[in-house]
This record gives sequence, structure tokens and C-alpha cells, in this order.
Amino acid sequence: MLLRRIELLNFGPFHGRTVLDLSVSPSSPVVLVHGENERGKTSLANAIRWCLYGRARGRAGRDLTTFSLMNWEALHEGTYNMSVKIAFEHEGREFILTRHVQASHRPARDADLEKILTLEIDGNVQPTERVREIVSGILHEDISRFFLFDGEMLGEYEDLLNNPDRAPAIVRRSIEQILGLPALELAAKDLEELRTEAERRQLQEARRNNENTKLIKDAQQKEDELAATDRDIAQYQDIQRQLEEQRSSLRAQRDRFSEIQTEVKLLDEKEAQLHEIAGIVNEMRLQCRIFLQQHWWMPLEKRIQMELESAEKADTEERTHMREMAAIRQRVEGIQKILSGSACDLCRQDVSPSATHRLGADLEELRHRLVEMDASASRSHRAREQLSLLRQFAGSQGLTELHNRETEIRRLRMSQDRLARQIDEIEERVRQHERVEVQRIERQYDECITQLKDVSRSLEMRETQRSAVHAALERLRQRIRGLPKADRRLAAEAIALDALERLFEMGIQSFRDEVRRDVEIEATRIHQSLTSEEGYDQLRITEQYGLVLVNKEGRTIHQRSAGSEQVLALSLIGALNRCATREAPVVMDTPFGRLDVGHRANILKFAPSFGPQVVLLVQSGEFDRSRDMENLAGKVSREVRIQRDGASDRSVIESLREI
Amino acid sequence: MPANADLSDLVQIGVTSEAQRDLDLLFNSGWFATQQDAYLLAIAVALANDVIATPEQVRGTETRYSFFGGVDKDGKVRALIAAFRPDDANLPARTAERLAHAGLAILAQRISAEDKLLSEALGYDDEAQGRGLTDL
Repeated sequence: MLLRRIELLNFGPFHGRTVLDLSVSPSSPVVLVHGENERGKTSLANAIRWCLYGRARGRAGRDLTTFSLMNWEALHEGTYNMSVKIAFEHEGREFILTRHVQASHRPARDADLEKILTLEIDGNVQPTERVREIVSGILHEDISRFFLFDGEMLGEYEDLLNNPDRAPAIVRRSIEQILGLPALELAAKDLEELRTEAERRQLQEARRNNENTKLIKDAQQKEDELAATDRDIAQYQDIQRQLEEQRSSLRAQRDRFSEIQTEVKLLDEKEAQLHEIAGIVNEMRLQCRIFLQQHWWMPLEKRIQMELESAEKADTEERTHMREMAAIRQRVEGIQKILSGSACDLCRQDVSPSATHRLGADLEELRHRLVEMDASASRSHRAREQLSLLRQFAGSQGLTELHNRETEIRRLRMSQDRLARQIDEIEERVRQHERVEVQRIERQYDECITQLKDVSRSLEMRETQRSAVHAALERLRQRIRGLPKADRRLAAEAIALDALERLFEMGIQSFRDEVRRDVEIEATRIHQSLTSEEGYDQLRITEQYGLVLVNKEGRTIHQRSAGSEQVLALSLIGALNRCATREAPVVMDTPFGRLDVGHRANILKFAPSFGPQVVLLVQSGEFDRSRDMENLAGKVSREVRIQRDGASDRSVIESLREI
Repeated sequence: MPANADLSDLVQIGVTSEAQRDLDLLFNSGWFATQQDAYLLAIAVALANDVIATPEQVRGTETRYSFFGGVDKDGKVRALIAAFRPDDANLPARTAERLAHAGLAILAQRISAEDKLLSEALGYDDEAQGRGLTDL
């Protein structure tokens, strides 16, 4: 299959009719499509996928509704149709596949759309009911992942690296399909059914002959048991497949969110800090309220302190006064005694008139001083009263304490403001819904892994059980075959079919090993040409199609960067393409995101040999035209750029180079 | 004999509508657990600033609190009035009410000032307090 041309009508950002010529020459198989993010590269890849299979992939691998693919501007203008037409060549014949949707009124969902699918082969219109079958025959949707992929789909292949003993069912099935194994497996399955049928007939025959009823009953019971176990296994396998698909999809979504996960984590940390500080502030404010209740007189503290100091001083002075007054009173009493007795108290001698006169003057002076001192007694009473009133408030430093607490709260508030600003900045980068989405996906992913483990355990148990039942049944059948009245022809048929089935199984295993070896050799060769790292020797593919990277000493390498895992995934895809039973164009949407310059250069050099036609959809961040074009030297047939049409939101395709 | 000797004291005290606005403003600042706490603080502010509302200014008061059983159940208000306004000590409830009105007006005005801490509104002087602490 080789793409010739794609024609879009009102698809995604492409308003009106847009045509892109994709034909390439055998010597220059590359079509290079440049376009910045949101310009329509993925829409172009989706247009091919949608036209072929009626399906388009959104972000994180989700299916998009057809309605969501319609050009909004056209809808707004009242044009309610959309189509994609792909012209391609396959096995020497020209095909034109057109998928068209239209509505008589403005559509709001897929149910409002009338869908039309047409296919012309060499100018002959094919019956509508056959179109899907013909397309599947050319490039089945299950194997389209090897031809039509993007960075997210590469992640599914990286699973093979991370779990080499357990490849996701969807990838394993796709790999076997591209290698042509299902056809052989179907044949083996047919043989198994034929053998089972022959054995059943044999059993019925024996029952008719009433031979050893217990033996027959046991065999019948084992057959029923086996059938029930098979049903259980099929059911578990189905659940396992669904869970693996879900895991792949969730992992792709996780990868997409990997950039913002760091931001979300930071956001969580900042919010936790903010929450913590808010808690401290609230607690401190609460404490402050209680503190205010208990120290409400704090505005008066300075005054109380001054008043107390003054009262204490007055009190001390008063005590000195009291002592002085007591001494004066004693002296007054002494003088009065001398004057009343006219003799000295100590020497008993008479007091002279001059001395009596002097003592009288002293007495007068002392009495005068006592009156003066009595007057200050009321002041001292007041001081004592103040002391008794205010002592209960003494030493309180509520205002200073409140100020310290407030200053701390203010400091915390500033931290809160700073954190809030940082959170705003992060939130600008991480939209709220994306954050919730990341958390939801993380949760779903964990649940999915747990369920997958449970299902795997149950499946293993059932498989063990099945082996035991099958072995028991086989023994019973052998005994039945040996019964005297057994139909020899039926027995021979069952034996022959059994032998054929074993032979086929061996053949399939041998073929599987052979193609795996081919893929292994091819993948190793491609990997060696792609990698810029030294020391790798070979890529080994396990029975489960897991990828193991081995160094020159034969040791398995476990530590790999995201970039080198992408290179490994590309090596496997390249090898599978080359070993595939069919040929198809490879469309790679933004595939170099995680690669360093060295690996990117190698892959670009190798890209032309991925297939007969390679469409590379690249953005400037991963492909620098001035630097990277030389790696595709001479291999580019066409080069176009998807760009914005003036100030509108429309995308248009501008041709940069043609053959 | 004090000028108010012929008056009897109150049992319930309260606020005028104007003072209630000041009280609401203070309470809404989030610093107080109850309006009574703000009321009590206002009494201290008035005493600290040596101001008191005139009897005319508290006319039309709506009673809100029990003085002896609520606002001053521990007797501290009476002690402070006795210490700083001894002439009014015989009418502590009336005096407290008038002090509260004057204090509320001061606080409401100071607390409205942008970016002012409550301690600053209550008279905390960083430099002076700091010096005081050093002295200690």
C-alpha cells in the first residue's frame, strides 16, 4: 500500500477543502510535514486513521467522536459536512477511499450524522458492505499500530522492555498478527475442535453400547468440568485483555501528564505548606483572643507600672516618716517629763531656767513637726490603697507579648502570601482540571494494576486446574478407546486428529521461533544503526515478545533512559515492518520528543528505510530544519508546512519542496 | 463629696448605636472572641488615655451586659477605676460604660488605620518597649 493523496473537507483545523499530495519516489520515500503544536499534524494522522477505520485517537489514546473532528468554523457557517478522501495504490491497483459525514441540521453529537463510506478500485465503485472487509484485508486495524503511530503508541512498545516476560496482550496479538501467526493458530484450533468432536462421538457411541457406565460417566463429568474451566479461562482472558488495554491507555495518559506531574506534586506540597501555616495562624489567633481576654488591661500596663512605682515610693517614704515620728514623739514625751518635774531624768539634777526655756522651744518645734507629718499621713494611705488595688496587675507584659505574637502572625501571613502567589503561578501552568485528571488517572492506574494481578492469579489457578482435568480426561479416553465394543474407526480418527494437532502446534512453535529470530536479528541490526550508545550487543526477543537488551558480555541491561527505550521501541517496529507479511506506509506523528540530538540524527538517517513510504509529522522542537535536513539527505520527496491562515484559527498546508 | 453622689449605679451597661458600630468594627477585625472582650479592652484604652465620654454622650444606651456578673465579675474593672478615677469609684458601672464608649471610639479609629497591629493600636511603642525590655 502506498498513499498517493489525501483530501480533507472541513476536517479538524482544516477549513474547506485541503489537498496534500503524498506520492513519493522509491529512492526518496519520505514526506516531511512540519507544524507547530495545535496546528493539525495529529489531525492529519487522524484523518488517515479515520478514513481507513472510522476511528480517531485523541490525547491519551482515547477514541474521539466523529462530531468532535468537524471543523468548528464550518459548523458555525452552517456547513454540516466533513470528509476525508485517500487515494492509494495497492498491488498494482488504484484505490480511492472516501469517508463522509453530513447532517441536515446543526449536529451536536455523532448520532446526528449520516455516515457514508465509498471505495473505488480502478474506477469501479465497490459494494458498501464489502468496503470494511477490503480495507481490513489491505491493512487490518489491529496491525495499523505498526504503520500509523505516535509518541504515545511508542509507550505501548516500551511495555515490552519493562516487562519482557509479560507483554501486554494487545501488543502480543498485534505482533503475531503482523507476522501471520493467527492463520496457523486458527488451523490448530480447528484441529483441536475436530479432535474433541471425534472424542465426543466416541463417548456417545460407548454410551449407546452401555459399556462401563461408570467410566463413561466419569469421562462425561470431566468433559463438563473441562468445558466449564475453558469458559472461565476465556472469561478471565477477556478481562485480562481489557485490563491490559486499559493499563496501556492509562500509562499513555500518565506519560502525557509526566511534565505536569512534577508541577502537581509541587502544587500539592505548596498547598500543604499553606494549609499548615493557615492552621498555625488560626491557632495563634485563637490563642491571641484568649490572651486578650486574660490581659484586657494591657493598654494600662505602663500607667499601672508607673502608678505602682510611685505608690511604692510613697509607701517607703511613709515608713521612714513613721519611724521619724515615733522618735519625735518619744523625744516630746521626754521633754514634757523634764519640764513637769524640773529635774533631769538621767542625772536627777535641777534644770536651770535657761535650759527649761530651751527645752520649751524644742518641744514647740517638735510638736509642730508632728503636725506636719500627720498631714502627709493621708497621702500615704492613698498610696497603700493604690498598691492594694494595682498589685494584682503588677509585672504583666501583655502588650509586649501580644506584639510578639502579632509579629509572628504577620511573618506567617507574609509566608502565606508568598505561597499563595507561587500556587497561583503553578496553577497557571497546570490547569485545575488537568490536575484532577492526573490524580484520577494515577488512582485508576493503581486500581488497574491491582485488578490485573488478581486476574492473572485467578487465570494461573484455572490453567493449572485445566491441565489436571485435561490429563484425567485423557486417561479416561484412552481407557474408553480400549473398551471391547469401541468403534475402531472413531478411535483412529481421534488419534489421527490428536497427532495432527500436536504436529500443528509444533509447527506453529517452530514458525513462531523462526519469525521471532528473524525479528530479533532485524531489530538488533536496526538498533545498532540507531543507537549512539556503545556497549550494546543484541536485542533479544522473549517468547512473550518482550524485549531484552544484552551487552557484549551477554548480560541483560536493565537501566535505560526514556530516550533509549524509544529507540528500542522504534527498532522493534522497524523490524516487525520488515518481517511483516504486508507492506504499508509508516506515518510517525511527533516521534522524536524524548530523543537526544545523537539518537535523533540516527533515526532520521534510518527513517527512509522504515518502509516504502514514510510520512514524518514533526514540530520545530524536535526537528530543526537547518540542522536535521542533512540526515534525510536526498530521501525527501515532499516537504510541507502546516500553518495558521493569517489571523484565523484555520490551518493551511504550504508546500516547501516537491519532487 | 463627688459630683455624682446623688446618682445610683447601674446593674446593666451597654452601648449607644454609634458605639455599637465601633464595636462591630472591632469584633469583625477577628481579634476578639466575643464583643464583651472588645468592650472590656475599650475600657482599658480609655483609662490609659485618660478620656471618658460625657453622660450626654452615653444617653440612649441599649443595655447589653451585666456589669457585676459579667463585664466585671472578677472586680478588676472596679479596681482600675478606683485606682485611676477614684472620684468615680462609687459608680463603677456607669463609669465603665462611659469609659467603654470613649475607648471604643479611639480603638475603632486606630484599628481602621491600614496595616496597624492591634498592639500598636493599643499603644505599643516598639522603640520604647524594646528599651524597657533591655532595661529589665
